[in-house]
Amino acid sequence: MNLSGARGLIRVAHNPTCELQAAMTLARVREQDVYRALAGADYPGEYGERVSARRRGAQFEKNLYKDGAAVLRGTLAPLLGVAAEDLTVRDLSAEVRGSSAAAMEERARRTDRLLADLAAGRNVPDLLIQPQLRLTLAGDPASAIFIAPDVLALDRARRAYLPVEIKSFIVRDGVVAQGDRDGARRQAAIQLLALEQELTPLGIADRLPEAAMFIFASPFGMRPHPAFAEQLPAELFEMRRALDTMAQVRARLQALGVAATTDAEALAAAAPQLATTYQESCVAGCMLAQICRQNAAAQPTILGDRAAQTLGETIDLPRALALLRGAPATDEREAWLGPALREAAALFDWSTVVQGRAA
Amino acid sequence: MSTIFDLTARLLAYQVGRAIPTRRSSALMADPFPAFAIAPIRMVAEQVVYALAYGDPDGEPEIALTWNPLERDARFLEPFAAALDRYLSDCVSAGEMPRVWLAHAAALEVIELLGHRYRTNRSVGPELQRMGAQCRLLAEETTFAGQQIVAIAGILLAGHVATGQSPSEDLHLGALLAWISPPAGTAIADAAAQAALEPAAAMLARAADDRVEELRERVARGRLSEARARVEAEAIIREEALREWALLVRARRAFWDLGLAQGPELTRLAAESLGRVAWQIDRNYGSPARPRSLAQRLDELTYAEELAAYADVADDPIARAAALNAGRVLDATVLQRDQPRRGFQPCTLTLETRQDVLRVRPGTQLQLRGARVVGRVTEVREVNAGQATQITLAVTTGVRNPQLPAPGQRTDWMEPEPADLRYQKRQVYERMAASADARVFGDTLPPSAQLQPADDDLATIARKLRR
Amino acid sequence: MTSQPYLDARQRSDAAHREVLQRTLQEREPLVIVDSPPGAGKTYLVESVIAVAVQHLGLRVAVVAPRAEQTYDLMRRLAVNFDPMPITALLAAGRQLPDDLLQTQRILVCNDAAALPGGAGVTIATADKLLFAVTKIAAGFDLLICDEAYQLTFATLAPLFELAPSALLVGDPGQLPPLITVDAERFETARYRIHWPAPRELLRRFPQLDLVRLPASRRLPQDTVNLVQPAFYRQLPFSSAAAPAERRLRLDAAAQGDTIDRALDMLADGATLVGVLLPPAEFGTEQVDNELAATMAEIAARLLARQPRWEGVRQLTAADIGAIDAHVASGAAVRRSLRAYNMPTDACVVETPELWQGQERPLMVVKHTLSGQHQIGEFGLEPGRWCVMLSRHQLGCVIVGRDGVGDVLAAHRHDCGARAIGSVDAAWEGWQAHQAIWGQLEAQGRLLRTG
Repeated sequence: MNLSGARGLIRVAHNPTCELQAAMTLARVREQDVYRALAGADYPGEYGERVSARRRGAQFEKNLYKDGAAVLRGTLAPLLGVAAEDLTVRDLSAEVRGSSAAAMEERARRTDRLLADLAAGRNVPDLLIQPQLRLTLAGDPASAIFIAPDVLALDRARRAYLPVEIKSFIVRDGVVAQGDRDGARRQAAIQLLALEQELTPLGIADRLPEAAMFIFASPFGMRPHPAFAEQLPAELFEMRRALDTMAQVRARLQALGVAATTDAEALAAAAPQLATTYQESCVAGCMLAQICRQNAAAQPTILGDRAAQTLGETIDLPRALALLRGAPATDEREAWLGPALREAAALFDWSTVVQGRAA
Repeated sequence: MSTIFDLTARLLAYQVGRAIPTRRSSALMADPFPAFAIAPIRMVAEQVVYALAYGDPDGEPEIALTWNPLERDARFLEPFAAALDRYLSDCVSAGEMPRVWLAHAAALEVIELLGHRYRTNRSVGPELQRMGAQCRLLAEETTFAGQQIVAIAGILLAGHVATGQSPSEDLHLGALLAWISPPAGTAIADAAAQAALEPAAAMLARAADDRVEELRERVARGRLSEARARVEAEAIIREEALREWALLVRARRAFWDLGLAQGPELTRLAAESLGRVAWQIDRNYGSPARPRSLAQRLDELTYAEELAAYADVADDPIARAAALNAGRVLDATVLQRDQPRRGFQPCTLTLETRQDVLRVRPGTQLQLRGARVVGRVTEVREVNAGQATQITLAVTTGVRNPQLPAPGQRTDWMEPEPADLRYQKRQVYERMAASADARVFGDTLPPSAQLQPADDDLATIARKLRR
Repeated sequence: MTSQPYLDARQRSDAAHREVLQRTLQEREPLVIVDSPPGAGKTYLVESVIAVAVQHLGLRVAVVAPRAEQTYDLMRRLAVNFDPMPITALLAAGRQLPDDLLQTQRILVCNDAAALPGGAGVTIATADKLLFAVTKIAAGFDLLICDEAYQLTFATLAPLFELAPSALLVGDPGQLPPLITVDAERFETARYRIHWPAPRELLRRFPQLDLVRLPASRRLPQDTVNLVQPAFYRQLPFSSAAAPAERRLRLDAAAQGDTIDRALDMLADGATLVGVLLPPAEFGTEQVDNELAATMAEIAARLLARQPRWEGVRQLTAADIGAIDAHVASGAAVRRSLRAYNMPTDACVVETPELWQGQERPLMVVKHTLSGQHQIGEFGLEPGRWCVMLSRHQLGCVIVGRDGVGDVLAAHRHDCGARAIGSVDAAWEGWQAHQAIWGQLEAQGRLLRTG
């Protein structure tokens, strides 16, 4: 999986102290290649989006955009306060087809022009389908990546475009999985940051609200759940921090002499000098998680974030077990922990468990 | 479970290299005979299913499947719909609690989606609509704490054992099972990591998924005969459904093999659960949306949660120890019993405790564990320069109970069984709905009454009324 | 002519009271919602409305509050501050009025809603009690008043509306919301937010409703308002109605000159919120910071040893000092430490913020909710909790904590997936409030570090 783009930034935001992950994002290498270089074997699990997931996402969007974006207009009209039939649309994905670099450049150029029109007070469409924005990662134009919001929607009163994030997640009784909410919000925040970068030279960045609109699916085929808007200050804060991390790690890579690498092997060779912070959420997201987990074998984080929080930075698992067995405490935390562990252990019927091989 | 208990249990599991039980009593009542199990396979990201393996978890499953769920022909589900309806309806009409086993939360999500999709779907027959309603009912039931009808093996196991890995890793049923019954000859962490590579989430394995997609694609392009593609695809899907079924059967067995005690309060929880499902089974289940139904639902959920917490503390010594640490259980010695007439009110107990963390205040109600003795705290005072606390308890229920404790006795007191006010509340909400007050239901407020002459200076009057 | 700001505040406060009386009792608006900052004289306002309604206009009034103690307090004030009027306490069977209220002989106790007296008068009950009585009440009321309305859910209050054509809801929007113990995600996205604080839901449903905002706190000194208002009450601008001269703390006894004394001297110099910070240390989730508990007790004891005096009012005693710890276990440690300093813990009360709601003391010692934590969770970020803790005092409040809160706040990773779709990010608001308070205390040199 390629970590460049929004996906990588979101991962960095979830674990901003992991330099290796940020470096993979900067170098735009594939995770499985880094895995192979580090582990000496192919990644054994599955990766990449499944065909059905990709298809559903594409069909859901297609359904919104077809017939002059009739469904899209109908869905967004209540939020924009404009009648659906009065919403004007430009579909850049129809104007410039394909996902080649040239096509992306062309869509970006057209998007730029529309944003300039917006700044100049000229007429712009209410809905801009598949525009292309640029986001500079580490303060360096060379690091810029393309960010493609599904749609930009015009807030006519504010004269500002808001990102519209479209996901085929199924909303059941108003409920969406937590991870899906997290991802969609952070993605929208990245789009806001890209918009902000684009609007700043035009002098209209201050119009940009800290908000985005979302369109998810209903359990009934391709029908969307009613669209909703959200303020995203925390998400913006998080994604700005991810950009800061990127800049710091870029400086680190420069110091290590591998700033320019786009090669997984070279990055893997530098990996021992990069900090990795294994945490509970790594398992769900990162292909390198098992490698980091093995390196952290005696660390409390193996037992989860909650355990790590209770044990703190100074007590590893062997030490905790020693305290449980009555080792003398060396500080206040240990003095609290030892008796607390022993009291709890007395409750569990573990002495009868056959002594197996320790993890 | 408290943080320190959870940490300790995980540490011990890490140390011994296998999961250890974190409860001594089961939170699930024994299976009725027969139970019903469902192992669904969903098309990733879609609201449609490839297959359902279902039936008696102690026997061989039936399998309903389609190789092309996007075709929207749902008739393949009809045998499943009939079997589910037969099972649930037979149980309910016999007044017996049904038990439906699912492997994990992902399977539940599929059941929930089937509910949403077919309950009111007019393009399918009444059998599938009824299946939708029943799936919905099962999914709804899982939102009630302590419910006994839907047993989700992964969630149950994670609630009854601790592993030497993180809670996120426990979410994978295969990895969790590796800790419960470790394969010989492999380091447990490796075995768990290995198990986690195969999906345990009501979906096809990646290779199977890709192959089925490819087969359909080739048929669509006219490169393969439909009959041949279909035979191969169905075989793949059947095998995958059986894989999920086997996982479910293994997880269920692992749960019962823990051999935990059946606490007496489970009966209450089971009665509640059966009551809810029996009430709803012939009503096509809709989501609460109006103030009355929403408020009732909030009450029901809250009551279920309180009752489940009560049952845990009453039945399970480890849950009780955690409650004691948090001050939710009181460990006290009876100093004195003032009861002028034996067996009659008034009856006052003086309790003394050395417990540090107390949540007891005047007005707090306490129940003697394991007995129908309930009282209300009237006074809390520190004694011996704060070394101990004395509590005066006016006994309100159980003054003639033989278990009413005597001086010198060491006693456990807990929050009493939650009061069941749902019937009264329901009446109140019905009345609210009937009154149709605009402030509750309206989109605009009614106009003002403007009854009094407007020139009175009420502020001056208010001042004058004060002494 | 320039008047004193506090006099302005009093005038604006009087005007707001007048508006409430007029809209409730003359216009008879179906719904009047009053947002009140801490210590704004909410109960005074409620008393006035009741007195005018019953004694001047001859109306039947029902009053509810979330907790029994709050209803007793209101009865007490009506019995003491006004000429006799018909007051009925609707009590659950088995409940008794406190002795002092029984002794006034002004209050009729009634357990059966069907037997409530007719005619003009006021019936007072907890919201729960009146809720269950709804189906039994024969004669309705002219006016329903709800005190501390932000502590009640819409589900609790909604069934009461049918009892009266007019309703007055008074509450503090900055305090802790009612406790919902179950997963509320589905309720959060429903058309009716029945689990929300009742006034909040009503204001969402009727955005055109003209909310009354009480503009002044009679409790908090302006110095505290300057910090608390922007952090917790961005929608409710208010200032202090207390004259600076009425909020002066004097410490008559000599100081030892250590950090604690310097903090106390700052209080006496008019900095009404100051922090005393112990060196940074991290604690496990359920671990009690005994050293911090001891410091809290020491501060309370030192305050007393310095012979505190509320200038122009009275000499202060242990009962004038309160302490707040958000955790029961560490609160117990504070109590233990207080006893070690010979402070009576029945006078110098240590409680959780939940139990401090609606109460006040001249002096408070509070434990920072993020003290000693490496990672902060929802509990610590709840803005209502921190708001209650910082708004109980009349003269001054000492915040006690481990140093490093600023760093923990900065490093905090916001959970972007926790809230339901389309809902407000309460955790972010809490984080911002914490950030604002800490930043201001730091910038103004109000954080004193020991050792």
